[in-house]
Parts: sequence; C-alpha cells; structure tokens
Amino acid sequence: MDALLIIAAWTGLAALAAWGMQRQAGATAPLAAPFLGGGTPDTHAWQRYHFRPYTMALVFIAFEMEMMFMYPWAVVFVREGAKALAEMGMFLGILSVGLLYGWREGIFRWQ
Amino acid sequence: MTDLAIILLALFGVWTGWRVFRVDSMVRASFALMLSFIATAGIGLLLSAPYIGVATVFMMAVEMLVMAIFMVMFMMNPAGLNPMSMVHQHRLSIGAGVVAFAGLGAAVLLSDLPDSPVAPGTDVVAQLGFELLGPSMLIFETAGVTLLATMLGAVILSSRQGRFGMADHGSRPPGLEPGGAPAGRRPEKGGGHGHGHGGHGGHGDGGHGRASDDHGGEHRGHMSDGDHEGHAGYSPDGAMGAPGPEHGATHRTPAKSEHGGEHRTAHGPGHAPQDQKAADAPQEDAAPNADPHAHHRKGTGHDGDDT
Amino acid sequence: MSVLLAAGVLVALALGIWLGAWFDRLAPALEGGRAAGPMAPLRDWAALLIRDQAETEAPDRMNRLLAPAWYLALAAIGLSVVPVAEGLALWHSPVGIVVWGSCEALIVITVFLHGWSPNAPFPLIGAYRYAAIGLPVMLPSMFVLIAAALPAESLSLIAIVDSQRDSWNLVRQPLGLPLFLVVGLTLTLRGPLDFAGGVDIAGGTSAEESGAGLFLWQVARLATLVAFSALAAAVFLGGPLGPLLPGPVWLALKTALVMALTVLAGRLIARTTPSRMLHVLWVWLLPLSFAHLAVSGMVAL
Repeated sequence: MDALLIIAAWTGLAALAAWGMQRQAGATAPLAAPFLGGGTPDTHAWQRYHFRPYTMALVFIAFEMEMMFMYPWAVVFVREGAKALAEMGMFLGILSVGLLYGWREGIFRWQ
Repeated sequence: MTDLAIILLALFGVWTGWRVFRVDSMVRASFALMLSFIATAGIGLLLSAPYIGVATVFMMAVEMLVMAIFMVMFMMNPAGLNPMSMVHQHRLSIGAGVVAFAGLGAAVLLSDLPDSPVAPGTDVVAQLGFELLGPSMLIFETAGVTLLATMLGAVILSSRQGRFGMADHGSRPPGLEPGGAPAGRRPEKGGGHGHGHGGHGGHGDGGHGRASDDHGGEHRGHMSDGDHEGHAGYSPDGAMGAPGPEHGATHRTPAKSEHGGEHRTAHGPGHAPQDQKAADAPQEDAAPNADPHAHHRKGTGHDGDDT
Repeated sequence: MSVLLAAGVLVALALGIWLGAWFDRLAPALEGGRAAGPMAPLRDWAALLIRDQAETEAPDRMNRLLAPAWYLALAAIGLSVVPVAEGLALWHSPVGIVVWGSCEALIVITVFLHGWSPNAPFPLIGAYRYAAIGLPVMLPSMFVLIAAALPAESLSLIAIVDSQRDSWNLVRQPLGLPLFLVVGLTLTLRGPLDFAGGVDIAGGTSAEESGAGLFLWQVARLATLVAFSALAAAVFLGGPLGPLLPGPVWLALKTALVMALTVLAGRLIARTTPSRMLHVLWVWLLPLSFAHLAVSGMVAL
C-alpha cells in the first residue's frame, strides 16, 4: 500500500509541476515546422521507421526474460551453494549459445 | 483500503486496455497496454507478490517498447495522424470476448478460491528461488532451452546480414499491383549491386553517413533515420532529372497519384545508370493512405517495401 | 514519519539537482574552459523558465508535456528505495533492485516518448537510437545488481547495505561500479551514451524543446543522476554506513562522489557511433558482466 502511495505521489507531483509550469506559445507555421538544419521535411516524423538493430531487440527480449529467473536465484544462491551455481551455470551456458550465434550472424550492429 | 486500491487499479487497467483500441497510433496503443499491465502489477504488489508485481512492470515496459518499435516498423499507418481502427472482425471478436468473459467470470465465481494470507515477514522471493532450484528445476532449465530456441529463431528469421551474405540477396518484393513492377527495389540483373553495400552496418552512426549508403546501395525503402536526413541533400526528383512544377522544392501537395505514376513508368529494369537512383522514387510514392491533415507529409516518404 | 522522510527525500533531490548542475558547469575547467560559480545553474534555469515553449506541428501534446514529468517521477521513485540510514528507506521494498530495474526500463520508454511526441525528425532519430542503446544497457545493470544481491541474500537495498558492514562491494566486486557507471551514463543521457541528445543530431530528443519543457527535462536528467548515484553509493560504497558522522550525511557524501565520477566519465570518455556502441555493449560489456557475476558468486560462496 505504501509503495503504491509513494509511486502515485511522486508521479502526481511531477505531472502537476509539468502542467503548472507550461507556457505554450502559439507558434506560427514556420516556427512550428520541425527543425531540419535549414531543410524542409519531406515526411512527417511518425511514419514507418526502420529500427536498424531489430534482431538485437528480439534477442534482447529473450535474454531479458531469462534474466528474470536470476533474481530469485540470487536470493537463495548462498544457501543453496554449489547446486545453485551449477544450475545457473547450465542455464546461462545454454543461453550463451544463442548470444554467440547472434554475434556470429552479426546482429549486434545496425542491420 | 486495500480492496479499494485493487478495485481502482483494476478499473485503471480496464480503462487503459480499452484505450489500446481507441487511440490512433501504435505507439500510444503499446504504451496504453503497458499502463494496463502496470495496473495489474500494482494489484500483484498488493497481493503480497512483490517480485512478480515489480518484475511485471520491468518485463512489460521493455516488451511494449520493442512492440511499439516493431509496430511502427511494420504497419502501414503507425503514426497517429490518420484516424485508424484497431478493431476488426466485429462479430467474431464480440463472440470471443463474451465467451472469454463468461468463462473467466464463471471460473472466478464457481471455483473454491483459496484463502491463505501470506504471513507477514515471509520471504516470498526466497521461496520462489528454492522452488526454482528444487522441484521446478526441470521447468526452469526447459525455459532456458525454449528461450534459446526463441533467440535462434529470431536471428534466423529476421537477421539480414549473416555469414552467407545478405539474407534478401536475390529476393524480389511483390508488385504494387498484381503483375506490376516490383515495389521498392530494382530487380537484380546479372551483376546487380544489391548485395554489395552491406558494409555500412558496422559504421552506421544513427543517420548521418548512412543516408548515402541507403540510397546508393540497397533500396530497402524503409522510412529510416537515414531517410530523414537524406532528403536534405538528396531529392528523388533531382535524381530523376525531371522536377515538375507540381512537385517542386517543398512537396507541399499530397499529390501522390500522378507523382507516383510518373515515376513508375520511368522506372523499370534496364535503365541502368539513371535507374539505380530512380528506384528510390517509386517506393516513396507508394504512400497508400491519403493524409487528411496534410501536416508535413509532402507526398513522399512512405515505402512500398513490405518486408 | 513517512511524510517527513518523503519531504527529506524531496529536499535532498532538489539539492542534488543543483549540485549536479553545478558539477556540469565546473567540468569545462578540466578542458581549459571556464568554470562557473554555484549560482550559474540557477541563472540558467531562470532564463529557461521565462521563455515560451514553442509548439510543434501536430505533436502528441500529452506525452510532450508529461515525458519530463515521468522522467522526474521515475528518478524520485528510484531514489525512494535507497536506504537513507541503516534500515530506513522511504519505500521498504523487499525487491529494491528490481524496482530500480523497472525504473530503468521506464526511463528508456520516457526518453523514447520525449523524442517521439514532438513529431519532428531529429527528436525521433534520438528516440530510436536511444532505444537501441538503452535496452541492452539494462543487461549489465541487471547483472551488476544481481551480483550485489548474492552476498546479501536479498533483493532489498537495505539488506544489500547491511551486507557491506565488513567490506564494501566496491572491494568484493571491483568491476561492479565501473559497469554500473555505464548504466548511469545511459540513464542520465550523458557523454558517450547520450544517444538521445547530442550535437550530431541538433539536440536529439530536445531539439524542439524550449522554455519550461526543456527546464524540466534538464532537471529530470539531473534528478536521475542523483537517484542513480545514491543507488550506486548504497550498492557499492556501503550507503549510509560509516564512522562518526550520521548515516544520511555519509550517504550524501558518497552520492556526491558518484555524481562527480559520472559527470567526469561523461566528459572524458569519447563518443562513438550507436552501431559500434551496440557492438561494444553486447560483445564486450555483456561477457564482462557475466564474468563479474561468476567471480562475485565465487567470492560470495
């Protein structure tokens, strides 16, 4: 309960500050046009966008999901000892294969 | 008090879930869905499942960001400037919704729900860890193998560059109309240069140097960051050598049809030197949706390359 | 009590923001530039606050207005789980480091929204390339924090601080703080990892910002710097533990130290392209974090 109150309070406070401070100026059309270093845009900015490291994003999701298992593991690591080390070693070993494969296929850069 | 908080969170979750289908933009929809998950996570916190609750926020934040990115990358109208309906197959979806609601509601009302409050001071995270390393060990390791399969599948299916050259080497995108010329890219002939310019991958710098690479080499035709900047120094019309008055310097008019037609006729296999550059033009003219707002989409910028 | 503590956190955050801004104005002296006095940040902010916020063409108004607010709020939430004295935090979360991880993920989203909402090319480029870097940076962060949780046998920051009575994690896990600084640089949009902003794309996500919006964004960046530094101080430098002086003072001193380190690292490390940075993150920093976790595990056993 405290947690939710704290989150709500900070969020509300920050949003109120942003809302209270704003001083919107009615911009004329040239002022409102997006800055392009002197050029005029041929597109609007919300169109389809080729996110270059897209394969990295997919692999990241899988890897991050795996990391979620590590938090509870970390808590019992010392108590479980070698067993925990072996199991997580195996788990991470399996997943490193995926990373190595991705590296070899060159996904960790702009496609 | 806790009950009230749970009810409020549930209502917030339902409202944001409803917003997912009402907003005009994939980015807004994704993050509305994320808010819905955050509300669920809040309920998890209140149900003495701190790790599951907070981890839900963590996972969903990351996943919704990636989902937003992929939606914008793949959908024809991801922006939010055009009105859009997220609802399809009304009858089927209404039916499925009613059945799911009735089923879940019946499950909640009819089943004998356990009532075992967690004793204060219980280390639930440690219990989860012991479960993971003990009885559920096999499930845990299987999850590892499944995630490995996910990674491999993602790399195999989506990675463009690899050990054996570009994945789309020699591939032809479908025509803009049935039997028409391939959209986006020039069909390769003999010693076409479609796969020769992959080297920019290692040094792309978020838009600057890559614009020239994109236009000179692989006519991928996505709305890339390169495209944004590229147009400052590179105009498809200039490359065509025929800047008509109606699409002059600024492309103010959303006059796509005649613009596109002109390019498409001029473009075809065999116009070697000029055509390489011109191949950019049709992909940009393939904007499928007229923009009623006509803000600053000046008739170009969309791509017909539905990869 | 909680209200008092919250007010204390708020005051500490405000002071930290000012200190961080001053560090930023002092840092040019390293390169032969002019250092400014402690009042300079306040003058900068006042100048920003009296300016108008220019409207862009068809923006997403709500997200444009609120992205800086979410950023600021996430910094405050992250700071709330940091123990200010032994056994005392505003939010006694049993999963403090996961809360911080969630704040990291949401900060990446906030920066993305900040670049996406003005509907202008340069901010959009900043948003996407920041997302490309911000996502994988979370992996070293998770590894480092999990490694710190091993000897504490808990995900709670209070327990992590408590586990450092004999020796700080900085000694037991020497790679932790340098790796975590990379995370800090990313979260606070600084130096080599500031792919959201930067002169190469005319200010990136802030290219269209002015006035109060820009002010709040800068303040939120600094607030994240404070929250990150306080967390790093708690995880690696023993937080409020220390002789003679009371706990909160120790935490404040250590936080200021990490802030200065982060500002320095942001000034001294060279920038590179996002593609190369992506490669560095996955091919160098991630295996390094693996090794860090393995070594920390051995030491903890």
